Amino acid sequence: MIHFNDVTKVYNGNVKAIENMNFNVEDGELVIMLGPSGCGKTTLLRMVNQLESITDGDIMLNGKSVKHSNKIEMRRNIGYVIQSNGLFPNMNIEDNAMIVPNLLGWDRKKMRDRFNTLMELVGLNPDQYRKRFPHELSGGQQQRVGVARALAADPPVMLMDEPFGALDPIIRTHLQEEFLQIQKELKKTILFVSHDIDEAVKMADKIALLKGGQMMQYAEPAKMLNKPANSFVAEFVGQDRVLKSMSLYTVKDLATALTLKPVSESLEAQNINENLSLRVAISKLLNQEADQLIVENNNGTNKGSITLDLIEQFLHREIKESV
Amino acid sequence: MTIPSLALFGIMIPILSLINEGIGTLPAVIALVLYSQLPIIRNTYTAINNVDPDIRDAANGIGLTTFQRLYKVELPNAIPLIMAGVRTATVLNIGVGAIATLIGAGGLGGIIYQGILRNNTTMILAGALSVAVLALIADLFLRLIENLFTPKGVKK
Amino acid sequence: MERTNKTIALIIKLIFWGLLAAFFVWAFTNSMFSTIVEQPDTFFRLLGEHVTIVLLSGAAAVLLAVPLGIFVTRPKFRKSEWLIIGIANLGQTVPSLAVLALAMGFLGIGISAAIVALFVYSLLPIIQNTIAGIDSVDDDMIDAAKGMGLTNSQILWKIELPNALTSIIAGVRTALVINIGTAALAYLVGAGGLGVWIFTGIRLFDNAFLMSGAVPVTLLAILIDYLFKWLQFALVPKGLRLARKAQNS
Ligand SMILES: Nc1ncnc2c1ncn2[C@@H]1O[C@H](COP(=O)(O)OP(=O)(O)O)[C@@H](O)[C@H]1O
Ligand SMILES: [Mg+2]
Repeated sequence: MIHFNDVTKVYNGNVKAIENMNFNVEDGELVIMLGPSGCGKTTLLRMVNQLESITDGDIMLNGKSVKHSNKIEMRRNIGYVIQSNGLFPNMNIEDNAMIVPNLLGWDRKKMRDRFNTLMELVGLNPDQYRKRFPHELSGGQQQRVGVARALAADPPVMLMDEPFGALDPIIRTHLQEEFLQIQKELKKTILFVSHDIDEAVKMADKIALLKGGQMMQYAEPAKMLNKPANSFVAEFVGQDRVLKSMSLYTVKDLATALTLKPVSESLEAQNINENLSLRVAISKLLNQEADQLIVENNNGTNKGSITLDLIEQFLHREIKESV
Repeated sequence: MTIPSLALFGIMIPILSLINEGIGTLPAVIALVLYSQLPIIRNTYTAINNVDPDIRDAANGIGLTTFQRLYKVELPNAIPLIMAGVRTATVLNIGVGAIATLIGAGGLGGIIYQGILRNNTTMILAGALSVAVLALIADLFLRLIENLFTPKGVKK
Repeated sequence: MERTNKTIALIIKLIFWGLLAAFFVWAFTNSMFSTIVEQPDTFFRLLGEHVTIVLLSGAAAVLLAVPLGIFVTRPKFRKSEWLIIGIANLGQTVPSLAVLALAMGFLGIGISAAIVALFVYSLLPIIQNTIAGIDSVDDDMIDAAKGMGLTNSQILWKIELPNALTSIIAGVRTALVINIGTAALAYLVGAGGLGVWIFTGIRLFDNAFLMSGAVPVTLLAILIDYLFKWLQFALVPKGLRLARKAQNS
């Protein structure tokens, strides 16, 4: 869907912000660009919708060069969300959210229906907020409207620059989870900027880790955690990277890779659903609540048991295998 | 500020003529003093009001008295805005001062007025330029003073 | 703290209104407005001239200054912005009396010299405020608008101008209030207006003429000031007023 071909960006003739960037974002993928401040994440994002020009190379969107597309038309097909929501204080919430459909000339009824759908989607009551103004909303609510506005004309592609970065941790977690649910349903192609490794691990299909305008690693979160490409990546993802990766595997992943143990009569046992993460499993085991966990699927069928030994075995395998 | 200068002169002359000072320097001086108040008071108030509440909080936290806080923290941080008010008032006053000549207070405005009476453009230009230059010099001078008294950390 | 502030404000207000009332009582008992009563026709003619000068020059200034302000804030012409702001700042150091006198030098005696002078003089605050208003629009907001595919003219009309409106109206308000005062000097270039009576009063040491000219000019200025305050309230989108309030608190 989005192809970066040897993209280079030089500001003012001397500041090299992005250097020979090559990677692809597939249809329906959520890719998070991660890296320290000033590494070029925002620049890379803004070149996609041509808010920044491309110095060298090209970005192909759906097989079409963004350099040679009609900017205005292209941007109307790309959702754009920024950290400081960028809502227009002179317009009420409905006008804000419906600005692109309005420009596209949708009729009143269609816009109203769309507004209602979107507000429900982002968890706000449409009739309660329709006529309010941005300054009458909390930061979290404003950002929800920001997301709704970006989704308004149902663009296949979304660009999001630290969309939850300005929110307090509890609200941020909340919005991240809600957004993941929305994404599960809508399957947009999303390029998302973050500087928070936990956010990236939790949300991304793939992470692009940048440093000084260069790609350090482009991989699935689990791979990046278990098999960092170099010492910079290892340091950035943190020394507890293996623990972080636990939340990325389900009990089922383990059950598919290894044979489960038979349930032992002599050990204390508890049940665990196979769709829960290994992180939950390990936490239950360390808790001393049980020494073995009996794995069941959604129908409650018993599939065998796991122990700490087995999880350790699985992780070693993953770390070796994921190259 | 809303009250037009000539009208203010016009209103003050009858009042001041009660004490036989109707025409001349006194109404001019009073009018100029009145005119200066608004920009200066307004800017000073805004400036002190706008000092970052965290800074004020910190000042209280380390045990400064109200007066120490004003003198050591609030005023130094407010200087640029206060001086901007003083500059506005000064430039405004130099312009209004030129009108004061019409009520017999003399001044550079007299050159312009004579120019009008004699229909002499050169004289008008000379008068206008001298007033403008005076305003610019005053503004520059006040900027220098401002620079001198603004703590380095407050300058941007 | 809050209470003492309010009390002080109330006392100042009471003193102010008291003085004002005393002034009017004094003026009426000394029949200071006799000129208006004796010559109502002349009064309305002078008032008409005064208002004509102010409105014509003001309207022309708005028509030129606002587009000019918009023009220099377009990305392509941003480089010329400092020049215009510089000229506007410099221009304001030239006394209004001189601008009038110079206009007379070029156009001769009459109402057109006064209108041209006031037009030039009111350009400055309007341009300044238009530029300041557009410049104060949050960059992130423009960025979001661009990112969503608004064209430059849509950004101007839907985002920049509504958000700069408060500032632009404030500029027009300043310009008109200054104009009303400067129009009182229009007598000097033979353009009439209420200044005629003020100058007659000064020359003849006649307080009735002075007051009959000066008080209406003052009231006119205050009236226009309030009118524009109201306009600001009526025209500026509600969301912006809220935004301003949120910023100030
Ligand atoms: N408009 C600009 N002009 C010049 N340099 C810029 C501009 N925008 C960003 N840069 C520089 O490019 C680099 C990357 O910036 P940015 O993409 O904003 O980083 P990030 O979003 O990862 O924090 C930084 O060194 C920054 O200083
Ligand atoms: Mg950034």
